Amino acid sequence: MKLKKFSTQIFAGLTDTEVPFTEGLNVILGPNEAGKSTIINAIFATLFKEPKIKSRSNEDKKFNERFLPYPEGNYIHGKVTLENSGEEIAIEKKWSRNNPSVLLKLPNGNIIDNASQIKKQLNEVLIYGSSTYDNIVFAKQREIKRTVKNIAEDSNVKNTVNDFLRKAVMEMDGVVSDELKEKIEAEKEKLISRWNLEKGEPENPDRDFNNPYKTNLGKIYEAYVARGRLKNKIRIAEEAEKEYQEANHNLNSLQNKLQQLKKELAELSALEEDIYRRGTLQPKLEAKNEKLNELEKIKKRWPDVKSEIKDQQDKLATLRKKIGQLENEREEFKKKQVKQELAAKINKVEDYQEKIKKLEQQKEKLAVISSEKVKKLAALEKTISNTEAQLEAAKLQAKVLRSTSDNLSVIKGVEEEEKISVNSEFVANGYLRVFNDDIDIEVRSAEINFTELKNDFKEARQEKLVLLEEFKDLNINNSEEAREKLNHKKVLSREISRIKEDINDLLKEKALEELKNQHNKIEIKEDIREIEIIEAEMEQLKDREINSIKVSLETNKNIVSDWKDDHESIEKLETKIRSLKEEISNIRRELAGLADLPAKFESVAEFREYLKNIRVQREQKKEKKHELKEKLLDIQSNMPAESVEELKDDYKRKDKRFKSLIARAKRILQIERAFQETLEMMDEKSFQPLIESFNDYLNKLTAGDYLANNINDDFAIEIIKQEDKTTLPVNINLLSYGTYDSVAMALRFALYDNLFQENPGFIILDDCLVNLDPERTDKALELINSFKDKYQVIFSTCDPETADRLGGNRIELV
Amino acid sequence: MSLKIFHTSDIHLGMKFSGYPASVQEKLREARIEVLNTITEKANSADCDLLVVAGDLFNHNKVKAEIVLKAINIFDHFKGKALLFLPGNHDYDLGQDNVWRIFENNRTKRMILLNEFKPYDLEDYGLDVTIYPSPCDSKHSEDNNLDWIKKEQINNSTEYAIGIAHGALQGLSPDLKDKYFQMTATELLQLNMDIWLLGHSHLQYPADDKPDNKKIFNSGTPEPDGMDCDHEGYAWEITIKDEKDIVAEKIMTGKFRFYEYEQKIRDRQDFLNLPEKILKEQAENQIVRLKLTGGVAEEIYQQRQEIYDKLKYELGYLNVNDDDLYIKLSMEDIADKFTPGSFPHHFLEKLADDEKSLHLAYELIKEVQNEA
Repeated sequence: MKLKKFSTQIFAGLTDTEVPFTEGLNVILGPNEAGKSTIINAIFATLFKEPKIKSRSNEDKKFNERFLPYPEGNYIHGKVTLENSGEEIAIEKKWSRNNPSVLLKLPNGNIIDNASQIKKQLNEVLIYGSSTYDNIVFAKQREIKRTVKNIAEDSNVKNTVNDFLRKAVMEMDGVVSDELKEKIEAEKEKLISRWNLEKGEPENPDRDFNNPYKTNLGKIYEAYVARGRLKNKIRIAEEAEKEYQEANHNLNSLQNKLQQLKKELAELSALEEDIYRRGTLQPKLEAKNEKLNELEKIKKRWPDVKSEIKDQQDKLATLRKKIGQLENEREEFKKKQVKQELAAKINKVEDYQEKIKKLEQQKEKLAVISSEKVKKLAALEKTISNTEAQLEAAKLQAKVLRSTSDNLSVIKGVEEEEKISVNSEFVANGYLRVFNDDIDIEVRSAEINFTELKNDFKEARQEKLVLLEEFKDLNINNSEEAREKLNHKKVLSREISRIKEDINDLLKEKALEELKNQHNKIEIKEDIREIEIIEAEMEQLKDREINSIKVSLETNKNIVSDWKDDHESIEKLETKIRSLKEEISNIRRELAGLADLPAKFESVAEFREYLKNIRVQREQKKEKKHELKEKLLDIQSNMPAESVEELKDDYKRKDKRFKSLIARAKRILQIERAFQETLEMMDEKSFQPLIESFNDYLNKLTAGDYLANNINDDFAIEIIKQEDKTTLPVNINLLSYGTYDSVAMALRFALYDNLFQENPGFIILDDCLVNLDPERTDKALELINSFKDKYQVIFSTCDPETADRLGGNRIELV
Repeated sequence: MSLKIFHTSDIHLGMKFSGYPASVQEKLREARIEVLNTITEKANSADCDLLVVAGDLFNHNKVKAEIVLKAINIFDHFKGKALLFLPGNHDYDLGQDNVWRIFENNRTKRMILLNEFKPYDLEDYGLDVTIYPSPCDSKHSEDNNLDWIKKEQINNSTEYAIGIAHGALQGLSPDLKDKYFQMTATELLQLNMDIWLLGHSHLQYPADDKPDNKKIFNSGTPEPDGMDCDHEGYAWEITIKDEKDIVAEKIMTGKFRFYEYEQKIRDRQDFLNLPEKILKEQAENQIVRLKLTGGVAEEIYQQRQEIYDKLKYELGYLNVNDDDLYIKLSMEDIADKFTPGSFPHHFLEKLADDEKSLHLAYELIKEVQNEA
């Protein structure tokens, strides 16, 4: 896309001017104030400035002052012809307050006048918007320099080329990100100060609208408090209305009640006197009625009680007779008992007598044995054993050594003669006699008197045999057995005498026959009941029936006695009743003449109490009424001036406002996030192509003095001085003024390259070489010349020499 | 003898209008007094025998005496035979010290307060009429106060039996919580009145301008009082003829009219059409709340204040809510305004999906630019 031509009928100092441009380099040459800048401004305005001049817009006011003819003339004009891919389009504008116009002539010759269509068509050709053209294509050298200077002086900017370029790119539209950040923060603060947006409550929940913060209030918080206060007010108004309504109703029902009380009181008061007379008569009547009742009862009962007494007395006599019969029966039972006892005793005695008889028989068998005999037997046995022992102690031992005859006998001690053989050895106690026909040898122990002993022994043995013969029926063989039998005889004797004692005990010195007679004499009736049954029956009759009849009888006697005391006789009682009835009838007559007790009262006392009560009530209610009236006035005067409905209407509006602010705050938060993300994104973004082209241009412009070099990992570049190979203190501030120009130009070219490489366009260089020294000017001219090969360059200068040196299409202004 | 009635209600004297600026408040309050003049004049010019205010003459029970006296003075100009005042739910009366006592202490003979559940015979006022009123005795009530009439023997000695009640007529005004003395047409018609004159809903009933042979009338407010009351304000002039045929005519009485608009703005034309759309005859009596939504080009957006100013100049009151109106920015617009690659360009690009946030961010950027 290239600029082909600019023409104007009138634009500031220009009238009917036409400026044709060629491809490559165009140099506008003219002294100061000749209109170089005006042409450039007019081209920019024709491309981008709205034709309608608005009186209210500050920008339009300035435009008006700078470019509209003064004091007369009410429009300016511009027309720019562009060439794009060999086709021409022309835009023509007339700026005016009243008749602005814009026309676009299309390559096919058609002309359109629809503003938005024109804008669209133009955009396709220009590719970028007005701001890009303003910032880069039409940028003034001094503005770029100012940007460079601002960035260089910003202590926050790191001294790296990447940082520098990043900053330059970022602030290309005059928007300093820090300022924008502050702006966003300020806006956020203004809205949400004191408010927790996330939780939807004040930052300190205790500081709600009832206890609000006083300072640093955000709009949301303010709206929240305003809404909350209104809500309170609504609540108060609602409560007040409710309270008022209640008080009204209370007062109303109280007044109704008072009316009722007044009416009722009037009605009841009219009855009061009669009712009170009734009050004195009524109890009297009741007492007399009661008395009458009592007497009537006595009158009725008196004869009854009398006959009851008689009945009871009869009954008592019958019962007593029955008791006598039962006592007889009991005596019979006792007789029967005695007879039975006697029979038992007789039986027993007879049994004992039988037993004695048997024992006597046993004893009879043992009659032969006696204590003396047993003792004698024992003494004999002792003598026998003593003699035997003495004989044994004089033991003799003998052996027949030789004998001529086998017929040899021996007598050993007390033993009988016996036959022995030769060579037989034998023992004999105290005495030995060996003999046969040939020989007879007697040997005696010298230690004993064998003969005496032998006599004692034989005598004793004989006596023992005599004794044992006496006992032969008892099968006794020695003294021990004899003693045993003797003992048994003693046991039998004792048993017999014990039974005899028992019999004596039973008979108690009477003869058995006597008892038997006694037993036979007792006569017993049949069918005699057990004594328990008889006695139980007696007890029942006595305790229960007789006693209770006795008590009743006693009571009845007392009653009759009391009645007699009170009334003397039934006849006298009847007289009393008659006079009482008359009294009652008199009272009744009087009562009939009195007003009735209203039905709802059961008694005069109740009436009296009720009347008293409603009089008190009425007084209390009257007082209460005054209180309520005062309260009502009080509530009324404290009620809010607006009705609840009005307040609610207002609340809706305040709520809307609050919600709208919340929505705005949420947007601000979104904006804040987008801002942060953009910042991070730009930090990550590589500016490498820009760095390269910037480095290239800088090197050229500073005649090789400066190189953006030493790209490190972070794309940090040191600007170094080429000739002495020393690294400049990494602070652009120290660069010379001329170097600023070089850096600015390099920056602009680099930025331009960055945007227009694909679709080359034009660039306006407005007297950009003023501050360069000759060597750098040369380099700059060289650079511009090389730039013209790629892009269309419109260069303006007031220096003919520069123009000469540049060559190209010269446009001279005078 | 035919009977002519002027029927109104819901005048709400004493309303504050505190949501409006002081000057507007003053005008709106004053209008509620002025409408009493209109009512009286229209009733006089129609030669009405009766003027009926069917409830809510006052907005609440503590309206200042000054206003009550003004009202009495104006009503006193009525030339008919009697004026009937029924307490409504806003100015309900149980006979206590309230606005009605001021009224009673200052009223003229012809002004009758219908605050009791009893028939009012108007013979003394030269009218062959018995009134059966159903006054409100509280602000809210689930039940209407027609019960006593249902139990009452209708007086046949007078020619006309007129029921006057205050409460929500089912089907006419929404009473969602059932707390405004709701009554049904069937219920009313069963009570054998020659006519029912109602108040409460601010809308007129029946909807026709000249209803014929209807028996139930709701007057609606004669002077609109808020956004939910978007008509011109009217009353009924009713004639009960000898044969008890009823003819009625809607009478315009209001001064101010409330409008609530929500307008989506898409382009300049929508903006330019606003005055035509909003401004009516006697725009100075228009109370308008205008909500604007939509996204428009920046240039149009910047002109909005001019339009508002123009409308404000004409209207009685204008409240604009343009929180939801915003500059609609396309990616092209962003590219036009900011150099590709620059911070604002990237930044706005990120917000492109949310038009309103984009607008807000753009405005912030512009502020930064302007401050620079």
